[in-house]
Amino acid sequence: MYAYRRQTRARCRRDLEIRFRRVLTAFADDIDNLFIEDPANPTGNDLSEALTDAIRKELSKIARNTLAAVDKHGWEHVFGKVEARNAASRVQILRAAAATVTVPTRPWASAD
Amino acid sequence: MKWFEQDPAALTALEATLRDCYPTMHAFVEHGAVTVRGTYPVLDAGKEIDRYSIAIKLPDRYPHDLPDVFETGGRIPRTLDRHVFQSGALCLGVREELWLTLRGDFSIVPLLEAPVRGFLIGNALVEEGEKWPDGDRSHGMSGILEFYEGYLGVKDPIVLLDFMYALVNEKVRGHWKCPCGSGAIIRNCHKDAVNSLRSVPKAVIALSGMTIFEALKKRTAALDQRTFIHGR
Repeated sequence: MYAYRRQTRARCRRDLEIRFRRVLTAFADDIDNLFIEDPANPTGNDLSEALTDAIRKELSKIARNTLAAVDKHGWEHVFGKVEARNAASRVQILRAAAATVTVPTRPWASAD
Repeated sequence: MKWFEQDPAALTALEATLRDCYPTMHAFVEHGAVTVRGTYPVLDAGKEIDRYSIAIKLPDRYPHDLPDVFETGGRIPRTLDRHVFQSGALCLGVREELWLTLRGDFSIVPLLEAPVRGFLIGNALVEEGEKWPDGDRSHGMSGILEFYEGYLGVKDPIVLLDFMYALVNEKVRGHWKCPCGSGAIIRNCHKDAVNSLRSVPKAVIALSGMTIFEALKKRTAALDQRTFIHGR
């Protein structure tokens, strides 16, 4: 039972990766042919106009960059490590992080 | 000519740096400038502790000028008390202080890892009801004076203005009395601080000088107005 669960979980993870990679690849290589479908009205409401040429170009570039980063360094490089929940409070974590800022500068505002 | 037109390889190198160090941030050429946009992970010992949507508009003289950094997710209130302008631009610090901290190198990695990271961690603490970890500066002229008081020991804005004028015109000499008011000559007093300030571009010091001058002018005008009303 345990082995079956572990297998299923591994397959799900793999499936998710394959599906997400497919989405990114479509964004990267086929962005001009993508259209947005209104799930409530899939046949009569094309929302593709919301994706302007500039947004399509930007999405395509982001997808290409992300795929390149994933191929070079793996998914954790993009999305970060999956960590176990830390018991320390958020303030403690932030204070510890603030202490690592080697050359702290103090925020200011140029206007009164 | 812009930096990325003059040297297209520099833009390619910037994109490679982003892919390697900040894979969720991307460079776009738009309206004749390069903007780096995306989400910035705040890391501590390799762990992500927070994430912000930001945009960085790189200056024409990148990496030799300070870029404009914006918080684009609407997370930080756009008020001066939070050191954010209406446009979302972050007031990372007094210009001279940033220049000295980064030694005039505003490349993407040092920029993100020092003032931007520090600001965003500080903001997260403020959101939790805490204070800025290293304090924050007053707005406008007062903040500039605070910096110069800490760095050079000058408290009087008029003395500071005179000193800035001399600094911009390259007239400061080591045998001059130190502007801190100790009575010693610069060479025997704030020599290192003065020498470091010499490396800051004149335009940066002149801009601070103008801020002080305008604030003093406003203050004097308000004082004159009060004297006039009371005198009548």
